[in-house]
Amino acid sequence: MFSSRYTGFRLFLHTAVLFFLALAGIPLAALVLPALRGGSLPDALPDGGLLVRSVYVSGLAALLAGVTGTTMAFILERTGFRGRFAVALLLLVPLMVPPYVVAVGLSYLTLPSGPLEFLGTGLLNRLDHLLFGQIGLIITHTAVFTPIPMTMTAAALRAVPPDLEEAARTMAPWHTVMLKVTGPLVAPAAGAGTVAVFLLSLGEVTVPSYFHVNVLGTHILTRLAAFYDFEGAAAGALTTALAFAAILAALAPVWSEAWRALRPSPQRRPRTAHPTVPHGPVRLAAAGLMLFIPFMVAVIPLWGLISVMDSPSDLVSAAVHSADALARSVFMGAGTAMLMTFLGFILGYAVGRGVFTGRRAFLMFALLVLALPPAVMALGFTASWNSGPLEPLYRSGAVVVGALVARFLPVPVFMVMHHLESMPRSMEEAAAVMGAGPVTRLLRIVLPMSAVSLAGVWLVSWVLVVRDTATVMVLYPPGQDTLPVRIFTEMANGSPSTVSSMCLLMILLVLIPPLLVAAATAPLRHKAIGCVQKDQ
Amino acid sequence: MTLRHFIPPMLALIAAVSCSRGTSGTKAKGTKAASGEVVVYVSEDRVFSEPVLKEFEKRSGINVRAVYDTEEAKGTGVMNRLIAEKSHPRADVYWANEPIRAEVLHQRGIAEKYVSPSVAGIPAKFRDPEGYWTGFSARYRVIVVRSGLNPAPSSVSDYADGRFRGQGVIASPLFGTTAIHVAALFTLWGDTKARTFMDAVKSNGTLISSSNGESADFVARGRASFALVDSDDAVARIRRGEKISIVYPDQNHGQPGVLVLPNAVVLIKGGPNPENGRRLIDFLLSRDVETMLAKADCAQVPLHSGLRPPAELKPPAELKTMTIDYRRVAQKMMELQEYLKRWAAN
Repeated sequence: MFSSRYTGFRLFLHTAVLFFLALAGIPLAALVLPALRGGSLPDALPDGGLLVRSVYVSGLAALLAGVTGTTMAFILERTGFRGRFAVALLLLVPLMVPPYVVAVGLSYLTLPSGPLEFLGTGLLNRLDHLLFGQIGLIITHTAVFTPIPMTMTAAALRAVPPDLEEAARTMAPWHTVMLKVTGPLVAPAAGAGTVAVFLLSLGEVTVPSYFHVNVLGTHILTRLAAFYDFEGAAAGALTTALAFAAILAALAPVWSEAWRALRPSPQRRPRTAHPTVPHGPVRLAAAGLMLFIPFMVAVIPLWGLISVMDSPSDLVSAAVHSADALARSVFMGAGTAMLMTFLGFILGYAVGRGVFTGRRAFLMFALLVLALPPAVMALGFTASWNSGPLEPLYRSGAVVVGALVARFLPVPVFMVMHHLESMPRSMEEAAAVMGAGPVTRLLRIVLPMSAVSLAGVWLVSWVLVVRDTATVMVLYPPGQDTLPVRIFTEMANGSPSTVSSMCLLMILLVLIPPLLVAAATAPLRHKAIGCVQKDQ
Repeated sequence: MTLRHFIPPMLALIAAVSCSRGTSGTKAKGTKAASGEVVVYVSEDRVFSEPVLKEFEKRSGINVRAVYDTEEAKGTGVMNRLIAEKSHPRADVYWANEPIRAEVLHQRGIAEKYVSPSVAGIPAKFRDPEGYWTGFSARYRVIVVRSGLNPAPSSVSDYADGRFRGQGVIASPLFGTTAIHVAALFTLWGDTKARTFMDAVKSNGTLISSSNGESADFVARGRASFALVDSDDAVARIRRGEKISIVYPDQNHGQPGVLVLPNAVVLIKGGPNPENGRRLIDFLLSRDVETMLAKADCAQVPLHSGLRPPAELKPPAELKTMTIDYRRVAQKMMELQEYLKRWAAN
């Protein structure tokens, strides 16, 4: 295993890891101690009915998202249809915005003066009643989280050696190859994506709150919202997080297989394309699904939002009305994403290259932090930062950045670790033999080779930070709200036109950097496709 | 064109927005010179409270920095923020949309005594006797009834009346004003009678909705015949042309009267700007603010004598109003936590 012999460099890496552990651990301690002292743990355990309902709703959402996402992944990677990239980007839209924005869009469809007015009051009322319940929650979570199994399955499909499929197709028809060769290779990734959706759905609270569904997440918040019972809420949050951690630990073999399936090849990208589904009824059906699924998942909620706007000028009015919140979101999002990219790179290197021992414990701790309900964790930050030497930082709003970094840093760390596994260590070892120190190797070899991945890390961090509502809502300094918080506070009795305009602004805000990157890298993609086609 | 070409304009954009000012309120442009700031945490809906706070900024020249709340079930709310920040408060004033939250802050030692000169004209029953909070701009707890319903319910007790079996809807008593109303009944009737009533409400086929607004919509759309809601929910539906009417419950002899729930304002103990906090409280309790809130879509009822309520509502002087001890109601709400959870779940 590659290791650094330089004490100063190792100390720096260890300090970075300890910084994250302290950043997330101290608020966690501020939660654990009162919960244990208050003796609220037995009362905080959810009852059986609530657990069954939560598992049923999230399980169904995960199943639907898994099936939909896997289907779309096969269509995008194995049909060669034109416009696949645009379709993939459209499907990503619900994931990039706060989930409640998607819920709002869906609910606006059933407004008496909405786009479905022609259905009549009776049918609209019935639809509205259906939506404001478990069905609305399942539909929204399916729409929001489908991209996760889709991207994981698509990545696994890209990692399958094309010549393997080609060889198999000389012996068997394409559908047998898909089922018996390709399918088993990508199944762990699809499974891991589905499990990820299950866990994300279990912990998400804004959509069940909006649709008035009493599930695990809202149960925890009830103790805060109704009874101001911080100790009880903290105890409930901890039991939920520990349950998540137990589920993740039990499914460790699935994650390991998925990690292996998703590992990019250390060799050069294959210059032959994967064989595609041949012309026929299945290809026709795939074309139909490629239009139908994005329409259901992304276009319909957007349609709900656009339909209640009085005119396009509402968008301009909303931008003027919320200019300060918009600016704050951009500034905070860009800065925090930069910080997360930097820390993610350092920690990903330290943990991924084995410099920091205790990798497994670190990863479990990071997943635990990710699994905690954000609002409860945010109160932990209030309890720990609103006194002593950290108080000036609390007043300044730096606490918001700290809380977001603590919550989301595991994602960049995992992304960097995944990327480093594809980098041949031989290059660093060769440089070491030539006398390059660890800092030189990090900055002159690892960093340049990671530049593209780090751009992806920044984009993912940007989306996670800008769309966050629950953490920022609890911690933002008075008068310094961000756009998602502004939307959330204006939803109560605000005009649907204003709220929907602000939601659309939110979508644009999140999408602009990825779209800019996509536009900038389009020539590179076309060049790559051209090379592959030339080889064929 | 490559990614490199986008980096300079992106950096310029980030630099430009990072120089933008970071306040959500307008900079005060009043006739008086700007004299500091005041931090207020607000539970009244932002769409109604923000114009009032902007008016204060304009008149006083004091910059208002606000934190707004969400609907009770959606987030942790500013109450929990106030409680979590108790050791080092960041807020000067708390504007509650009902008095029980204000009373909870008093009981947790977060409120500071302050009796504003503006309370003159506000009945004593709508403020804390020791001066820890003061009520203004109220809502009634009324029964909305589908037009043409005969007989119509006239009392909260009619939820348990067999004549109205399966016709009523009530919001979940875990949150907000319904929770307060239930706690108020417990303090008035005693635990035994109140629990019997709650059991009868359930067995009489009453629907449970998620909010007062939803209850009002159920009646408006014909899914239920009557609902106990807040007066602003009723007025909003009437103004939309829904075929419903308002009944002020329990107006007869021997009945408790209609429950009145005022907004309440609290001075936070140890807040950073106490003097400006007092000035804001004086403004919020003024007749001007009550008039603003009565004319707004929130349709609040002024408590100052002589001010007109919204056209759809009667003034408090013409009604029999419930007399309750808000302190006892707040304590009872906390005691009823587990009972209400079980009641709502079953």
